[in-house]
Amino acid sequence: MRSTRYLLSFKTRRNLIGYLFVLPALIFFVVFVLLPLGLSVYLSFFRTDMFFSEMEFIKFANYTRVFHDKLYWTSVRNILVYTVMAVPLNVAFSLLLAALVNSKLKGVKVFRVLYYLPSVTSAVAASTVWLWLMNPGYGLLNTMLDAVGLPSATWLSHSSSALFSVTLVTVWQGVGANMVIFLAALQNMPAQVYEAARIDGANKFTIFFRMTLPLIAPTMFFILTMTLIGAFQLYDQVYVLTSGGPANSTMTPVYLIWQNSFGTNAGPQAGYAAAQSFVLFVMIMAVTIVVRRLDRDNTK
Amino acid sequence: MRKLLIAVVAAVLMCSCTACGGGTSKNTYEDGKLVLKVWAPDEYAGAQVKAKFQKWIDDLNARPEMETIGVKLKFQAVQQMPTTLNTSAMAGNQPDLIVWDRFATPSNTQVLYPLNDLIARDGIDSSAFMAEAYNELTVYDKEGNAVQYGLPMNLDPWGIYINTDIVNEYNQGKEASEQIDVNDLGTWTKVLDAAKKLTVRKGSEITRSGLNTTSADGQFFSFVFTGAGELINTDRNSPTYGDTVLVSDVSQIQTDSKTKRVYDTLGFFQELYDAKVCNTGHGGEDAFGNSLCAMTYGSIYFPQKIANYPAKNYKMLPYPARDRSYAGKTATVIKPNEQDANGMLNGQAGGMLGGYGLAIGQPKNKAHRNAAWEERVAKAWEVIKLWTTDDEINRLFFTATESITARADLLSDEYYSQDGIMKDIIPYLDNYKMRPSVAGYEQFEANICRSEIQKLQEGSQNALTTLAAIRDDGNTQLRQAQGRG
Repeated sequence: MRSTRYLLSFKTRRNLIGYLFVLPALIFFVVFVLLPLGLSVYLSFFRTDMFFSEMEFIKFANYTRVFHDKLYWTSVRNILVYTVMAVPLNVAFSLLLAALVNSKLKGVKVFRVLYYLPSVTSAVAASTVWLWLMNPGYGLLNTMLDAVGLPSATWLSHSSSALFSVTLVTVWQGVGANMVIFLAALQNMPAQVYEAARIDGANKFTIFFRMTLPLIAPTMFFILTMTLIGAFQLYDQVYVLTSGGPANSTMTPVYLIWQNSFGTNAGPQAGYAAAQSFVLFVMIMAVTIVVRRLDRDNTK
Repeated sequence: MRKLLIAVVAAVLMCSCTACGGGTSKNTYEDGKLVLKVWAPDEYAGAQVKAKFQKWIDDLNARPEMETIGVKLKFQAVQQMPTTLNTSAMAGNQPDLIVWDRFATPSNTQVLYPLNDLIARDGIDSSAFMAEAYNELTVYDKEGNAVQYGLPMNLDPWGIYINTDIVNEYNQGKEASEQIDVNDLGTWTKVLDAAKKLTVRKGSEITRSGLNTTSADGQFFSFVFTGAGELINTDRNSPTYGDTVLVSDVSQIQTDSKTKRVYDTLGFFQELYDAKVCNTGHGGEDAFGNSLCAMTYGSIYFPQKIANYPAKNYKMLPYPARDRSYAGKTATVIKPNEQDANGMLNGQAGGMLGGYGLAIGQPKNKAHRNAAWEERVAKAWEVIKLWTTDDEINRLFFTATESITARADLLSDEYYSQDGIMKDIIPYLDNYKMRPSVAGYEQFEANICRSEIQKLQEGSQNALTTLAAIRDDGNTQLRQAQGRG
């Protein structure tokens, strides 16, 4: 009888209500993520400017150009070196800080806030300050090195040290947010497990490496994935600190994509920038899949 | 699909910045006057200049001529002008009047209103403006027709600033032959010599730099031009139009006049770097303003930037004339005012000419080009005409903003004989040149030239390798950016 009274079954109606709840987020995702992504791929087969004024279909020419573009691969090499430096440093320092502030000592909340502050500071503002700190002539860092009798460093002004200097800034700015996630994981650890370990005679070192680390592995992989993705998308700090120099030593794919899309006198390179973006997307996707696989194998 | 692309981008832009609204079909009036939005890039109207520019806009609004036109200007300084303008033009919220960095014209013609018909209708005399500045606002379409996207507003010549207090301090107690004459620093050799003399060392550390060489890579075009040379082939009838001018045959470097000048510039840079006249930390305006660097590069607005620094006594020089010729690291002194075997002048003091024009904004979407917008275009053009072609108004503009007008016939104005910096540089303006108006030039300059010169500076390659990299990677970059590769 019911089916004659209602056009849709109860299950369908229930599902429909569920879909209605997710609809706003879905629309947002489709309009701001999926559609631009699809259009970007479409755009990558054309030679055009950012207004799509004269769209010339050039098949895979933009992709062929990407694979022959020395500068693009220099930027990819830079970002790989940066990732190798920044990601382990970021994960290690954020875990260390989380472990340090995971106590009930008086005033520890103040430290949590202080460590988190760089993460809520604008990357541009923070980088501008670091630009001053790293000035090789009269920056605070070299003044401090000088005070303790150490030779001055070139920081951002030489290609041998610029990428490392950028790494320092991004790690400084990134550890706070990851520290909070690690802290949440540490505080969710079951107290009775630690208690049992201590009764069995495990020391702090053993507890941390044999119990804590394996137990927070899912959090670690989440942070690793997000930090890796963030590392591949490095842009703000490079824009302010070095503009990709010296000698393209800090040039990153995203900075290059920005130049080709929005740079002054970029010319009809929006399609090419879209191809560069898609190649970067594939690289990030590949790295993410590898990390996810490792995570899956680890949790088995 | 193209329409879908534009529609999606416009929709995303409109959704993401609700403040932008959308293309308006009704105009705004205040006190019976049509309100026109004026945008100027933040780097032009930043800090010191902004207050003067705002005052100028206020003064202009109060003029009876503006009453006759029936408009009121509302000024706003914006960051990242080309990007901001492009996104606003997508949504139909572009400014009516734009203080436009002329260098950016070729890649932004979609959002600038072409003025050819208006210029012809009102008989605007283009010869009244400095030719280099006027031509920088000209873009050639596919049929080879010149399209004018604005009228030039001011001139921004770059040069070398020298701290005269430091020079005077150096000259004290020296023989006349050893002294530095700030009025006689017109050649590469003299500037190099002065840089060496003004450098102060404490052990191996440079405590005062003679010349800022950290950003010399950014002055590459200017120095090439002081040999009357060029970097890019801008002859539209040439089959290699848009390429670098550099020959690929190494044996021709010394004989091909244009390649030779670029090579000599690299040779001169190498000599400057080898002379070690600069602490790497003494590159910015802070170092010059605090007298840590005796000579640095800057635009005509540099004095306004360093107005609050202790250094008060300085002089602006045009980039010095080429008088050194290189074979490897060996330099031979030549006479700038003579010609080489191919009849090309050896050298001339001058440099790069930047500056702004006045342009009219145009919506990207034709649906936004409605009657209200057309009314604003007509009024904006009347303001541009008044601003740039009326002698009295133009004089008010350049005195209020302390700038060099783009009106060639007004450069002899009494105002310019009073200001030391402008008075010194104006006689050289004929030797100043705009950067090449070809697509991809900025990336060529930033990612190829500057990057390769930085390698020269770090000692990881010599002038010859640098030249080859600029030629090979540069041509590839330029051709691809121009859709030829």
